[in-house]
Amino acid sequence: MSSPALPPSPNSDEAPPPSYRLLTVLIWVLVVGSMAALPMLWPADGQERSTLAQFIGRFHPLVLHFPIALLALVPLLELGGLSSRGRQIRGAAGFVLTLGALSAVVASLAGWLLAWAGGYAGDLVNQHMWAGCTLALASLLAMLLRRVWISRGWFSVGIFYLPTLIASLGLMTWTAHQGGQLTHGEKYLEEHMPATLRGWLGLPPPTPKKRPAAAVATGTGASPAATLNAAATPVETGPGAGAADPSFFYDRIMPALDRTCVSCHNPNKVKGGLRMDTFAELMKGGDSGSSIEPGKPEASELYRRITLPHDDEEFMPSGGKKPLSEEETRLIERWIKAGASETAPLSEFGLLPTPPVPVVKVETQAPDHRDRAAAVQAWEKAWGLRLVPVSQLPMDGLILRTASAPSRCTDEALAALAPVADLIVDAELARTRVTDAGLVSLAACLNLRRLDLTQTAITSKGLQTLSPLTRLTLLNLTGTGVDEAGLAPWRTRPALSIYAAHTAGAAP
Amino acid sequence: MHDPSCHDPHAHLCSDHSGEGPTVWDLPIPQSLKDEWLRLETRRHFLGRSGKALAWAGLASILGRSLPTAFAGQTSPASLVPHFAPKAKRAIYLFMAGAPSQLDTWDYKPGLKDLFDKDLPESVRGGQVLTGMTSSQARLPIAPTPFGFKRVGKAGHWVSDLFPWTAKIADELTVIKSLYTEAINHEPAILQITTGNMFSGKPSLGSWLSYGLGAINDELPSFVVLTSKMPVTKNVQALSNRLWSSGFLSPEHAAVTLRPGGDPVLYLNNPDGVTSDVRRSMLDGVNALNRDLFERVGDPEINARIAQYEMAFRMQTSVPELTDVSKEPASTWDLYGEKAKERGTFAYNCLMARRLAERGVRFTQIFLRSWDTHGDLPGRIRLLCEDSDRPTYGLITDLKQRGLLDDTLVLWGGEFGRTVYSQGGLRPDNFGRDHHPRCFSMWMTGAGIKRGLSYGETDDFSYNITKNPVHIRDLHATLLHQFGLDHNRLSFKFQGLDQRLTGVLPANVIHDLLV
Repeated sequence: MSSPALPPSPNSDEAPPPSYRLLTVLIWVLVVGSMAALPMLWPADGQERSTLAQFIGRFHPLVLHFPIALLALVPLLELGGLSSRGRQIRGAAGFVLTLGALSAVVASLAGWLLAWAGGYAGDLVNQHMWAGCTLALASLLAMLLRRVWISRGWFSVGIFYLPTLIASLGLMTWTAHQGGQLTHGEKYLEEHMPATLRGWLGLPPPTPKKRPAAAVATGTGASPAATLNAAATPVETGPGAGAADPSFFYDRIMPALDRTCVSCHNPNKVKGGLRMDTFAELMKGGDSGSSIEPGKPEASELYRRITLPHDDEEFMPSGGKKPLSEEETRLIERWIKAGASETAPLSEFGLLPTPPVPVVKVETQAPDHRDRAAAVQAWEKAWGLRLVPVSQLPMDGLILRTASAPSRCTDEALAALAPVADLIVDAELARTRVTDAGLVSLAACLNLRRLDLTQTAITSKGLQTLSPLTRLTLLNLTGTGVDEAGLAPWRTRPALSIYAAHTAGAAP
Repeated sequence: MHDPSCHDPHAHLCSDHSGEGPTVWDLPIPQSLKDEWLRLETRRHFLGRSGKALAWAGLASILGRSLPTAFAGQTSPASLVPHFAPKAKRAIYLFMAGAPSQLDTWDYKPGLKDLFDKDLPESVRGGQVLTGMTSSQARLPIAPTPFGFKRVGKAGHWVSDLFPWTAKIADELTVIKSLYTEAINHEPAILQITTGNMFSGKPSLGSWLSYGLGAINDELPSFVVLTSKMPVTKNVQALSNRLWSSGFLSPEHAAVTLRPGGDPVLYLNNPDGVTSDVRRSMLDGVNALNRDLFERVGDPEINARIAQYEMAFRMQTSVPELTDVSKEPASTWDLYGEKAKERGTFAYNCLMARRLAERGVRFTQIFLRSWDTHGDLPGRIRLLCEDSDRPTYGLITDLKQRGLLDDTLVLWGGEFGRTVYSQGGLRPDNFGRDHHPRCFSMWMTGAGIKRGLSYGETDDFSYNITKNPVHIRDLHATLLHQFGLDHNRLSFKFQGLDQRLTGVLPANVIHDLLV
């Protein structure tokens, strides 16, 4: 069967090594080729295809965890191997890397099947697919380079092993993040990110969740860019939103669809060829034809699907997601029956607009002190005194507390308060060494509500410098040198309680 | 301290190992687990060592062998910041131990005058169980108060003639006439009102405040108890430090008591020939030994002990300053009366309470005993009121003029009420009253409390509450609320429960009392 012109068959007795080599090469070509070709030739186009392909594809979320764990383990094994005690574990690195690379290939193939047959589309899916395939190839390359490194030493091509490995891990992080965004929504990780971290990463401040009545009307009804996660995205707005009488569709129907349907029917994930993120797309319908027949709920595919028994194969939303409520279903029925209009106002249905979420106003006493924690601590350390929060609400301000060591609180200590002056709402300065000179610095504490100067050396003269403190509600001057003349301008403040026992100004 | 046996992995993990090298405390396990273990561990340490090594080996085999020094004792919740903006920074509780009669003090029942020596209607008593002291009486004759009452001030409180001085500040007071408790005898009742529970072993109100808020002044304890010399010494109920103990909280939250005679705090003065430097180096040595013991045993009470020694050292300076009243202006004695110059009197303690408040002590509780007037009530209550009326007036007035009443809560009251019927023989000017838990009166003022309010009502016999009942739990919840603390959230994990001052039964902040 074999001819000299052809490579020897795998069964050839004469030359097994070349035949294995050929097989290896073939497998490599197949793997590398498929990684590049499949996503290019058959991209995710939003069509749903064969059940078998989808079945296999759905193993992607399972398999993908193997490359993540295995590849992340490789540098640990390599590092662990650096110490003399851990030398033997380094031997495992090659094995783990091989397993990781192979599982990356399997995960990529499964992922491609899922994207191609599962009705996915959009930039995010394609980017993720390409990133995944590149990751598989990069880890295969790292695997080869490691072998070279082991057999020929550092100063060969093997020197590229380390950069390749690091690049693979970086790529893996990015790919994994994209995968997470696809599953949980693009803002999943950001949503509850602390403001500081957000700042470092250069992310914009979080967008508050909006209700349609509070959103600004776009005037066109066209969706700017609906994303996968309905919950984290401002709800689609349409004509009349925010008006006294907004459209029934945008006030009642869209929010319900947004919460229940849009996570699978959007530009990135077009299940059944149907998008529901805009009015136009919804009316266009999907693979099973039109979704809405205006005026005829019972003839509308959408209405039929949402009213099936919950265990029916065709029931929507599928996959155990939270169904539309009974009330929402009735609203959809009314809307279709009335002609499925985009613009028909709520009043035609005898309804009032959804009220906007009430805004609870919290009275703030001072700016958030957490932003200046370093300055606060530095002052506390420098003077051995305390600046304690009034409460767990950071906008309640700080108390300047000196009771443990009043003698440490001098005019200099008050002068040094400048960077945090506006955070202080309560200054406990009784029996301190503060004098009139220190009150000048205190006048910068514009949010001061309570000021206790009991038994300090201050006089009426110094008291004058405090006149900018318009928010004071309590001024304690017990046992100080102030006199009635100095108190007179303060007596005119109606919201201020003044205590001046044991002073020249004390009432008899 | 090096012990060769520590090379054996099991010996290494026994709790008494020398403190070198890793211990189980360094394992990355949740702090709550470690705390729980420590509690078991310290109990075991107390009971004896048998079986401990086995237990440790067991824990070690579960957790694997690892890491070093012991954890820092959890003495306070993670943050010592109030849950919300507080009205009160401190409180002074004038505790009338033995239970003053509400009928002769704050709950005026003019209709009783005509019912002298009539039997208490059975329908009023409603089957209420009597104490052993009156259950054998043939009759329960009504004893109207022999004291006159006057309506005073803008608020129009009815104030007993027993309180000529307090009457002058009545407009400052909010009187609650509808407090009640379940306890009918002193020990459980006094424990309930001081610690929120009739059984001993729970932290007291002041300890919870110290635990939840920390100190304002580190030089003095957060919680101080002052016991007073008594003008009469009949039926004196014993006081004990269960009433101001920290229970399961770290001992540093327990009250420090200032004694009515001798040194205010025992052994605070250096003995002759011992200088401050010597005392300091002695303390450093003791602390080093204690820290070493702590690293081996991990008992948080050892840390508390170290903290107490340090507090005592600081108090060597701060207490003499506190108790030195030589610089008080002459007007002070006009307010509190000349008795305030005598150490240990109620008047002196009231002055101390003001000085403690000025210096930032969170919670000062003054105990005045012998209000347990089972017999000879008119004579004894007169003496008690003569002793305490003026200083009470002085304290409120002084706090007010110094601007301290604005953020200092002041309370006056006992642990339960007294019966409308007489215990023993009844004469118009001599009779006794038995314990009565179903209603009693107290007053409060200061930080965020309405002024001049009368809250709650009782029936014509001051026997049952007819309007706005206030349980002791509600009182406690309200007190914590004024300090910016949510009584549902101020808790400490102990014996498998998130223990709270107000316990597990519903407790409500009485917002009607608050500004």
